[in-house]
Amino acid sequence: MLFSAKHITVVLAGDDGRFRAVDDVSLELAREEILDITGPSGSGKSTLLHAIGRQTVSFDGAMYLDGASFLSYTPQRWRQLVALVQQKPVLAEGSVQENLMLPWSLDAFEKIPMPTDADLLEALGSAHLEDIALDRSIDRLSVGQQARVAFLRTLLTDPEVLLLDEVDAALDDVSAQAIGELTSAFIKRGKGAIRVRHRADDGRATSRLIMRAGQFVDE
Amino acid sequence: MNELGVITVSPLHLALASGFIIVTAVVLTLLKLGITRQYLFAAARAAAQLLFLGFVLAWIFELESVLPVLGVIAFMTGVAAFTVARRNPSAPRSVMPIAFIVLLSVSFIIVMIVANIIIGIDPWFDPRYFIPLAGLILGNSMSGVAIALERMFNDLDTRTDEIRSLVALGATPWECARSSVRDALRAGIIPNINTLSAIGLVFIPGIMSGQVLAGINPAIAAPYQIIVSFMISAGDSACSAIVTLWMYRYRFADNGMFLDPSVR
Repeated sequence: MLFSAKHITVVLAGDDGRFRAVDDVSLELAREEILDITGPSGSGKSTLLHAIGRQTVSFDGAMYLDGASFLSYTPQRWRQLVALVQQKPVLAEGSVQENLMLPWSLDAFEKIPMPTDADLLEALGSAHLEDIALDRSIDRLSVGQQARVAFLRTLLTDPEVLLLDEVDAALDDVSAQAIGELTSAFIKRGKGAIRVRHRADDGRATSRLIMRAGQFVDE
Repeated sequence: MNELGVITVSPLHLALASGFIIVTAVVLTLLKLGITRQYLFAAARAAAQLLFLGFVLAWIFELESVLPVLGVIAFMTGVAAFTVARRNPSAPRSVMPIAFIVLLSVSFIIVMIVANIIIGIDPWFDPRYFIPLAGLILGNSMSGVAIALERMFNDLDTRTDEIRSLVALGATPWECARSSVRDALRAGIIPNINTLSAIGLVFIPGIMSGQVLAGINPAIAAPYQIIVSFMISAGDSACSAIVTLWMYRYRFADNGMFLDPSVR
């Protein structure tokens, strides 16, 4: 098993006091699997995804990557291996190249090989962005192109599991399609992906879970 | 005049100087600024605090004992730390104890160096030097620390989305905060550079004015002022740097998550 999460609970502060946004949820993800989580707004899908990516201040439960407990990784290393792509990715000012290389300004990437310019161009091509030059300013890209660059930035960091939080929700069809293709190509390399989605099913998922009020339900 | 040729200020002089306050208060009232009462209160407070300080210092100078000197410095540091905390209402609660510890230790170390290595006073705690020097460092460092903290916490909140992305990529709290910390330190330290550049050209600093008014030869007062100015800029920079580098971490959870305004 590539990844498993057991008895994940996340307690959040809401308007009516503290509540269990995610309530004792377990899931498993095999290699070459795309798991889609759907459900109504506020059902806890996004919170669960953030907890899996260690992007919440706290949570209860256990997680294993390739059989190793999450506790054996630093939070920074875990976030690099189980990488969350946010709904509204933020790119820094500067060129496409500077943004794609941003992770290598961080200590967590010290031991990860730095992509060459050829790697970056190949990545852009794989996202149908072959006409974008590396020195193009980020400001001069469309929203959809920016989302693809942000997605590539995370892909280039070579994670084991991708967590996609409605990344295609606000995108044009071409960009959404490109991100879907990239995700399928990614898992074929022996990786896995968990997607929280609102859009119509794109037929890429290998398994599906429905979430309601913090728990998985049959339908 | 006294033996140094200084004109002693009498109660009559003070009463005449109060004319400035009264004229200003009348102008403020006529302009309907709504701050006349605050102004009069602050002026009365300044006079009372300074007269009180004069008495306390005169008394401590007589005592020639170390504990009252340290007590006065601790009290001044407490007020400075309180002021830093009040100017940063959204800062974590620990801002006051941290500011207190840093302001106190930095001022103490710098005063020890100036008084006992550079000038060479006897006894080592001679209140005539120790208290005014500490006061100068504390007063200036207090503003520097308050500005730097305000800038840092505001900048971190403004960068919330960017910091979330950095955290998601695996950045440590320092990697997320460093640009805000540097920005804040620049903001805290640049007023110092401006002061050092303009000193003697645009204004005659307080300590030199005081010495000259008290009858000391300006040529003797100037080197003193150089030492004091250098000491102040070092104290301010050190305090701002230590406090911001200590406190940025309070905006991150143990696991490195950024505590943005929505989760605080």
